Amino acid sequence: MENKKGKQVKIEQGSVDRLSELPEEILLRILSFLRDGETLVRTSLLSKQWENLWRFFVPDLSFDSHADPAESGGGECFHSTVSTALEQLRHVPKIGKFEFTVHVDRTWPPNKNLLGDRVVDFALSRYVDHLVFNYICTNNPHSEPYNPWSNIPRFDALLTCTSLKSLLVGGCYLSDLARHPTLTSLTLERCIISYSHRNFAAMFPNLNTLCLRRCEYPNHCDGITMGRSLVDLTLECDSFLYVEISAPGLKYFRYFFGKFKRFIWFPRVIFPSLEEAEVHALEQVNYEDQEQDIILGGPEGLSFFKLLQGLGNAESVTLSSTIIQALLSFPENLENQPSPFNNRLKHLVVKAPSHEGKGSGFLEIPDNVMNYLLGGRTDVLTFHVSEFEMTMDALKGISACSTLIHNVARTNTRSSNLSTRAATPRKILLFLSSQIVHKVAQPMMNHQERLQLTGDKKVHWLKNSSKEPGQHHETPHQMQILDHNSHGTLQWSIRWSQHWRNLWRFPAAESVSFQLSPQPWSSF
Amino acid sequence: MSITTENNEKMITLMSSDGEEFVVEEAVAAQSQTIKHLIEDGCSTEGSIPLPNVTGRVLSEVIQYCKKHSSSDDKEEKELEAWDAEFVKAADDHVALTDLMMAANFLDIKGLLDLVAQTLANMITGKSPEEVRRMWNIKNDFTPEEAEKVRKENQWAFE
Repeated sequence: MENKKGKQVKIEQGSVDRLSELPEEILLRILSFLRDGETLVRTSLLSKQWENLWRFFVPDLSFDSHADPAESGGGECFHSTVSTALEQLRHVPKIGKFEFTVHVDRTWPPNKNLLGDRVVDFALSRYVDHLVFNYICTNNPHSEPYNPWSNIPRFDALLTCTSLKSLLVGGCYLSDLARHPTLTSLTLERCIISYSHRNFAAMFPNLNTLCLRRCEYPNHCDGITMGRSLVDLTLECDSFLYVEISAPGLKYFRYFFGKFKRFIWFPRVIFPSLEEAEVHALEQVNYEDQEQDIILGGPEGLSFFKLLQGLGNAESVTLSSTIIQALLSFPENLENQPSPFNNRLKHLVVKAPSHEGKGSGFLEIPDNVMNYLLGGRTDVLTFHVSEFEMTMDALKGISACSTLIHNVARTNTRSSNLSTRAATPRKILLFLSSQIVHKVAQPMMNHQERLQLTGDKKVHWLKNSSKEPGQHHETPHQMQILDHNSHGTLQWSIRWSQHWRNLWRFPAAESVSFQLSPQPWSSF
Repeated sequence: MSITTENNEKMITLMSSDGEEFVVEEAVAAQSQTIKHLIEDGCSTEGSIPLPNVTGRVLSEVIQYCKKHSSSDDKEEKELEAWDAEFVKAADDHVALTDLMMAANFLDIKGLLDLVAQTLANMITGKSPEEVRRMWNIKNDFTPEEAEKVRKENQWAFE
């Protein structure tokens, strides 16, 4: 008897894990009252039971002005939409991904940038992991590099934010760049970059994904240096002369350039781990500009043939039809040069750029180019794919989707592997305006398995709503999060009323999305 | 077993897991959704309502809370908040609080559940994982390598 009693006392005194005795729903309730992001995240280290509980309280936020601001009077509307949401969400201790995308035109008043300040402050004070801060000029969404009204607010603070793992900045003016030791992914699009350091290796020692797209460098930039940690590199129409990379772990290399004249010099191209390489010339070769020198290799060794050789380890290579055309202009070199690719090559994809449209361009690769590229190998699968403008224009969007589906369906009969590679409808959908989504949804549904769209939240919603295409306007975008219960054990939802009153705390919401489109939001 | 007082208030009897009986007004007991449903189902007419998950000590505290909250109306909100603060302070031992939380969960008393959850959340705010583990006797079942991986994923929170 006494022994038993002794045992019991011992247990009560504390060898028992009191808090973990509580059912998970109670632990979650306790976490839901935490207002401090650091404390919340630190609970991951308590024990395995606690490791992932905190994630239920870390929502992703997405704001996208989306529609033409002039048309919907959206400047004001979007401003108040975001302000209201930030107010509603003030108790959220931490956020995962924060996307802030504003489609601006010339009438966008500069004082709207106050909103940008608030957004960045909000994101920083809630220990954001992934931040997207993107100004897109609606007049010319693809090539407008710079909006004079959109200096990125508090960029210095962003780069001292230690929770930040990935950052995308679009359409902004960047005057300063500080070292950020933990940043792993950086994308700069259509930015004016005036700082003098271009040594990315030193600035971002842990960077593994870098994308520089259509940026300008007013202080004259000869070249940049990439770090050894790099795994994924995308360069599109940037204006430097050379790029120095020593990245033994690089797996993905994408390079888009305009004229051959602007071809960047890569002094050392050795990528032993390369898996996928993609090289696009966005304009046709122009023989009057001495572009042959660049393709063939001039006195300074600026050689397109050399770059192809540097990509020799790739398992999958994608070239634009303009590249094929350029190669075709040098039949002698094609005969003399050894094949640039080695035995690892499994797929060769040739893409027709969007402006050429479906059915034009080099959809059949001439024999001599094929021989050069493949060195006579017959076991390499080759595909021909049309590429599409990503646009919010309704008609283009629909035709792009249906053509894409058509193409994927076509290529899919040859290999299922390409379907995931070519299936970029996720990106297209992000740009589609809500009015046309239901028209696209049905054909997408029919090809869903083939396109392997599962797992993307936006598409998840499309899948649901496409069952009732007629009711589209009554089901605004944020419905995508309803019924989406990926964790399987907890039920959650956001109640939504016309006047935002019932947006209550969302204990387990994975993603909260606010989008502005004229129809559903006109009552705000 | 139903008793009626002079005020014509219906009384019911609750029995804790260790056999202690508590006679309370129905309005007080009905703060608990669980008991309310039991009453509606007619369980209270056949003697006391057994609550096998709640000890007498905890039940007396729960009843104290329910009494206060059934007698106060909205005007006394400030006073009620102060009372709540004192109430959890009195049970300011995490073992007592977790017992209270379990009882509130079983009895489905949302106000009490939130009150205790808030208190526990406040108790861990600003504390290191080691401190929280000590406080609640949570067993650290990570290997050093696993712990390092978890820590590394969000290094900023542990600095």
